Amino acid sequence: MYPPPSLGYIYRPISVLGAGFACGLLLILTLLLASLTGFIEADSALSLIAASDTIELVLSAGFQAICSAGLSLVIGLLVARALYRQNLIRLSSFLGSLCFLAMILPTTVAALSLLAVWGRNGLVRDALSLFGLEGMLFPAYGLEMVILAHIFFNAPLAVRVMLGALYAVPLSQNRAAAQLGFQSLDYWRWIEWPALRATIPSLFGLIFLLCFSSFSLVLMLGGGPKVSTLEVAIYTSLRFSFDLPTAGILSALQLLISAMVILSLSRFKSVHWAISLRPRYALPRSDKSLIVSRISDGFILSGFIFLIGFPIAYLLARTEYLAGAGLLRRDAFWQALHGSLTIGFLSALISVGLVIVLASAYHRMGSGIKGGLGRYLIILSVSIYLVVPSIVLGTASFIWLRGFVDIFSVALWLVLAANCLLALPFAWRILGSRYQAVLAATDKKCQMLGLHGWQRFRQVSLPSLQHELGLALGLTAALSIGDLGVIALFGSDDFRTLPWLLYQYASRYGGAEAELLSCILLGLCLGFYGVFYALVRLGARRRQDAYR
Amino acid sequence: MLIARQLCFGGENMPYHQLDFTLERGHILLVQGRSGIGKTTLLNIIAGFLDADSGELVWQETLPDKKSGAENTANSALDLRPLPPWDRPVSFLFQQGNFFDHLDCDTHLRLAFRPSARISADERGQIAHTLQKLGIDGLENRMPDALSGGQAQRMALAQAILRGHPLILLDEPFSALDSAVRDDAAALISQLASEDGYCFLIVSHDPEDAKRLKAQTLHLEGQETGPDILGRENPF
Repeated sequence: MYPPPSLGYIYRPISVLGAGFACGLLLILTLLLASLTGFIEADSALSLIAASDTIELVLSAGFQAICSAGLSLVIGLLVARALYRQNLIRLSSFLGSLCFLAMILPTTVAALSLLAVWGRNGLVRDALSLFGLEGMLFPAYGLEMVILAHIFFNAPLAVRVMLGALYAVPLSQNRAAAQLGFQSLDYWRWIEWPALRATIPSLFGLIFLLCFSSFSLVLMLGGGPKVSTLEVAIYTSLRFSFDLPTAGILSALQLLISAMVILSLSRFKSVHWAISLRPRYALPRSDKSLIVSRISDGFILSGFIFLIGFPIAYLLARTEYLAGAGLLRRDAFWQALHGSLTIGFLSALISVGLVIVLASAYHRMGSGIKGGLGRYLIILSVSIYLVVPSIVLGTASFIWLRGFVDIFSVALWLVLAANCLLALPFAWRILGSRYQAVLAATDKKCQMLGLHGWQRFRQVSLPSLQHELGLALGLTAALSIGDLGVIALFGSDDFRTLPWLLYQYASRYGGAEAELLSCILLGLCLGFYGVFYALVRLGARRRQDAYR
Repeated sequence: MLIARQLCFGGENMPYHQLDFTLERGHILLVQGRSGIGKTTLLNIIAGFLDADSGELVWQETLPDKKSGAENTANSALDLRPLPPWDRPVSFLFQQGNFFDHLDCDTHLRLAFRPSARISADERGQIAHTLQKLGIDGLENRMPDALSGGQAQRMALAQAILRGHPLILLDEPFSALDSAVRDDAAALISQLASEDGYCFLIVSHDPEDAKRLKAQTLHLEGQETGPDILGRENPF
């Protein structure tokens, strides 16, 4: 019975618009997949999938992903527990920022940072060589380096998710535990493990999927065909051998495996990472001031800071800014900067705009049969792009559009569209659920006051959403600016982005220009995030001032 | 018995208080006052989750002298303020969240004895006896969310009793109960105090609770500024 018929004239347009967008998003994907599968012949597909090379590739990528996910989870768990136990506000805020930085850091910049510390001429290898111990370190390129890079990106995600689960433990439970005289192991057994275990299957699955479909890190740090993933194989067959059938079949295989992992995870609790990492209350724990706890927690937390923060800081410190300044005289740099800025700005606005319309429509559709179907359509249209790796999306677009247009002449729009679609699930996760909650909480009051549409969004919803809106805009912009996925397929002399240029410099020229470029890229991602976040907050403050 | 001498607390959106009271074994003290006056804060101070600004908070056991058999209180005073919550002879029943949602009631009751939750046959007998006494036997295998409001209140009380600490703090224990259940719960608390010697310190909004529990009342009023009672500069 909701919404009442008398309000239908207000709610119908947004529901129709939302359903239209959802259908459009699903139609795009269907067309892309149809073009992909239309290209595949069953016999050749089966023989390629059953070929020993393909099986070996899937198995080795699977092994790499299991190692990466397992180690990320263990490190995340140790760090989250230490941070939760010590309950220090400044340290939590600092590590929260560090974890967030690792999330928005472009993969190309991360690869260069890790090489600066662990690579062939890296700090650690140089230090070990002073004692003649450089042989003890793993090779500069290869499986270990890829796993290290995946840990670099995913351990912070694990920390965020697990710390969120621990912070969700109510204060009363911790007080009850304090009264009952719990020690470290008792806390682990009765409080921490029960809070954490629900997150582990989804978190492991998500990190496994991210590492299994990893592209740019494997490309830059894998060191050759021995360490590869399906994504890299698709890229190689499309970009170098122009073998469209193989690229199509491998894309379908990648999609199938991703879908299977996501489906198997659907019965577990979903992962929440968009939370504040500040302690919510003072924790009355008997074990936090013990010497053993302090030493072990200190060791774990400083190890984590070294693993995640140090490579970025070291890259910034060792970059020879003047020597790399020649970069600024190159047209390619300015062209890439223009491309990245356009894509980052537009992709953030479009994907966040889409999420706002879809979330409004989701809320308005109600829970009847028609509404339920509409809601299902919206959720499917948004989250389906989490399953589709960027290279698969790019390959399908390539196969679909090459008959109609010159692919490289519309590369900007293709890369923009792909980045919007790939950023959608993230923007939805941050903004969508919060916006629905705000709508539900303010519905009756707004109806009573006659506030609808844009006025309601501006006056009521926007002030409540400023944090999430800033976060979603900043994150989607940063993700799109730093993406080296679709651009790897469509990048050319006519259209470049900064990550694409950085990849070219790192693999061809290397040196100071690549390092300066990575610093600029990092600054751009942080700058975009900061500017979006500040603009939304400023807008909200000015509106509040106007009413004072 | 619990003794508070010039116990001062307040500030930060709350009036200042300087309290002197004594709660003897087997007695019930009802803490009343308007919302936000600091009733729950007082309970948190006694439990050790917050500290008072100044004053004394002492737990004093009255033990028989081994030689003469007379009561001797000289060596049994325990200063509570320096002690962490786990070392105080106090059990606190919160307004909400007395249970770990993922553990069944039996585990909660076993945790009352020790954090490992391993118990002896004798202790198992104590659990059965307590549950029977509180009228909730047979509910120990349920999860906390499968209990009614009154049952949950009694289960939390059972855990507090099994811990064996003589001072039990209850934060608005009757607020979620209907009047019949409220009378039963009040009768039970009065019985535990008079028969087993527990001290209860109860926060309540309902003036009827004092009659229902036959309790003494501590009415919190407080002062808006506290330079005199806190012995520090008036910030205003």
